[in-house]
Amino acid sequence: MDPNSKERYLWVKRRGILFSVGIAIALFFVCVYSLSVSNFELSFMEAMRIVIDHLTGNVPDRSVDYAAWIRDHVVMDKTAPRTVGSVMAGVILAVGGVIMQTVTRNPLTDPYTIGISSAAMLGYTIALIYGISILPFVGGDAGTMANAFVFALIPSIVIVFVSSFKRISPIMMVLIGIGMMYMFSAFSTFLKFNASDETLQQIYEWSVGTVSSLTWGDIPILTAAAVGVMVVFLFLARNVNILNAGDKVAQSLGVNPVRLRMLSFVVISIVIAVLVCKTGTIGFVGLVAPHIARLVTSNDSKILIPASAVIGAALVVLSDVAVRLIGGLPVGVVTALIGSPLFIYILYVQRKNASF
Amino acid sequence: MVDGTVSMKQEYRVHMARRILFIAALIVLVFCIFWVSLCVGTRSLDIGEVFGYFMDRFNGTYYEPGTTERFDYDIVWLYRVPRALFAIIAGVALAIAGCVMQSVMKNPLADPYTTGVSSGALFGVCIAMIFGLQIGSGGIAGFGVVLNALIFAMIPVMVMVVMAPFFKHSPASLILAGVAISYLFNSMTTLFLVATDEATLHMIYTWQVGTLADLSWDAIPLTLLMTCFGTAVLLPLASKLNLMAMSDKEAKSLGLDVERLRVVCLILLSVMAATVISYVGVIGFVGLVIPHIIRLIIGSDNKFTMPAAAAFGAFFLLGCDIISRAIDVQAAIPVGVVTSFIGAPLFLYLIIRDKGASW
Repeated sequence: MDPNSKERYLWVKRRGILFSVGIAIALFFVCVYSLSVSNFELSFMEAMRIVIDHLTGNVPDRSVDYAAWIRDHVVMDKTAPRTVGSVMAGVILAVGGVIMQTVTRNPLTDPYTIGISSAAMLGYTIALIYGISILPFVGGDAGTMANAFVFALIPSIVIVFVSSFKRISPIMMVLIGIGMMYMFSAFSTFLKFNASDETLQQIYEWSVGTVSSLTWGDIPILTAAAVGVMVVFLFLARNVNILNAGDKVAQSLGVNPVRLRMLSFVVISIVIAVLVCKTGTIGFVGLVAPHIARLVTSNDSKILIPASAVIGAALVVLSDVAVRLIGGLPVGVVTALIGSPLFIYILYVQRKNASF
Repeated sequence: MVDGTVSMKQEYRVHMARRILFIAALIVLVFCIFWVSLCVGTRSLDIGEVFGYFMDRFNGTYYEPGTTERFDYDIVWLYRVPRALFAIIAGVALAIAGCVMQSVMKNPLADPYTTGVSSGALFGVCIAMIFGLQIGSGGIAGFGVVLNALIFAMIPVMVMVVMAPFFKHSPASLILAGVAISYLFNSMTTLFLVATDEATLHMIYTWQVGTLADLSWDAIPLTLLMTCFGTAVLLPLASKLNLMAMSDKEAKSLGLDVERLRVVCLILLSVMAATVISYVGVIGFVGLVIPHIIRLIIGSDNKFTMPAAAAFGAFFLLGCDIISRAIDVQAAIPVGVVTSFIGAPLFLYLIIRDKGASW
C-alpha cells in the first residue's frame, strides 16, 4: 500500500474532524450571541452572565429587582428555547439530508423529497380549514400538529409497502415520493380555495417555516429527535459508507441495500415529521448543509454526519438571529438568503473536489 | 444463427413500428381534443357550430356585431383557439425541455425549472406587479409583466452559462448552483411579498400555480417561434443526448463535446420554458413527470422519447385544461392543479406496474 495515500487519508480525516470541531465552537458562540439579541440591548458577556446565573440557581426575584427579572425572563424563556430549537432543527434537517442524498445517490434530494413536506402540509391544511383531526380526542393546536405528523408518515409507508412486493431502484423510490408530493400539494391548493385570508396567511407562514413560536415545552421532543437521528445514523455510518460503493458491492459485503434504504426513509420521516409539526417546513438547510459539509470535509459518513449537523445548526441559528435583527421575516426565507451565496462560493472554490 | 439475426431484426422493427405508432396516435389524439376544447366552456357549443365558426375565419363570412353568431364567433376565435393553441405549445415546450434537462444533467430529478428559470420569472412578476411596471393591458398576461418575467427568467440562465466552464468536472455541481440561485430568487420574492396587499398576493399566487385563463392571441407568436426553434434544434440532437447517458469521459471519447452540448441545450431549453411561463405562470409537473411517464411506456431512446413526450405533453396539458373548464368554470381551478391530480396517480401506477427500471 502506498504510504502517501494512507497519510493523505489520515490528513483528510483529521481535517474533517478539526473542521467540525471548529464549527461546533463557532456554533456555541453564535448561540450565546443569539441569546443577546432581543428588545434589550444586551452585550455578549451580559447574556452569558444571565445564563450562568440562571443555571446556578441565581434567578432574580420579580418583586425585588424587576429589571433583572425581565431580562432573565426574556433571555431564558423567550430567546433560549428558540435558539435551542433552531440548533435541533438544523441537526435534524442536515442529518436527514445527508442520509437521503447518500441512500438515493442523488445530490438533488433533501429530507422532504419523498413528499414528507407536502403531505404534512395537507394534514395541516385539513386541520386548519375544516377542523378535522385524524386522531380522535385531540383537538385544537395539538390536533393540527397530530395531523401534520400522521400525514408526514404516509409517503414513507407507501414506499415501504410498494418495495415490499416489488424491487424498485432508489431513484424510483424517490419518484414515487415526488408523485405523491404533487398529489398532496394539488389537494392542498384545492382546499385552500375555501380558506379565509387569515387561514391562508397562517398556512403560508407554516409552509415557509418559523422557529419564533417555539417554547421550552417543544424542546424535549425536538432534542430527542435530533439526538435519536444522530445516534441511529452514526451507528449505521459504516453501512451507509458501504452503500456508497453501489448496491452490488454492498450486498456482497453483507449489507442489504433495500432494507437500509427503507430503514433510513422511515427514521427520517419520523424525525422530520416531529420537526415540521413544531416549526413548519424550513427549506434549503436539508439540501445545502450536507453539500457544504461534503465540500469541506470528506465523503466518510462518520465525519460527514456530525459535520453536516453542526453546519445545519449554525445555518438555522444564524438565520434566526438575522430574523430578529431585521424583523418580520420567516426563518425559512433567511436561510436561503444567507445560505445560497455562501453555498455558491463554496461550490466554486471546491469545484474540483465535487463528490457527486 | 442466420435465423436468429433475422428474428432479432424483425423484433427490432416491430418495436420501432410500435413506438412510431404510439407517437402518431398521440398526435391524432391532440388533434381530436383540440376540437373538444373549442366546445367546452361557460357557453357550450356543439362540434358542428365550432367547426363552422372555425371555417368562417377562412371563407370570409362576416357577422354583424351584437348578433349571437358574432358573440359565439368571438368566443371561439378570440378566447378558445388561442387558449388551446397555447396549451399545445406549452405542453410541447415543457415536455421537451424536461427530457433534455434530465439527459444533459444526468439527473432524473431535474426539470426545466431546476436552473432557476421559474423563480427568476416569479421575481420579475413580483417586481412588475408591486412597482407597477406594467405596460399595455393589465392582468397576468399584460405585456409589461410578461416582459419582466422573461428578462428576470434569463438572469439565472445567464449565470449558469457563465458558471458552466468552471464546473466542467461535475454537472451535479452545476445543477446545485442553479438550485441555490433559485432559492435566492425565491427568498428575495418573499421579501417583497411580505409588504404587499392581498390582491397582488392573490395574483402572484395564481401565477405561481400556473393558469391558462386570460390568454389572447398576443401570447402565441413569441411562444410559437421559440418553441419551434428550440424543438427544431433539440430534436436532431437526440442521438447525441443518448450518449450523455454515459459518463462524460466516455461520451468525450466518442467525439462528443460534452460541455458545449450541455451549455447549448441549457440555453435553448431555458428560453423555451421561460417564454411559456412568462405568459401563463409556473405550470409544474409536465416538465418533470411527462418525460418519466414516456420513458416508462416506450423506453429511454431520446429519438423516440422526445417526440413522444412532446405529443403527450400537448395532449396532457390540453386535456387538463378541458377538464379544469368542464368541472367548474366559476371556480377557475388552475390547470397546474389539475395536471397533478390526474398525472400523479397515472405516474404512480406506471412506476408500480413497470418491470425494468429506466434509471
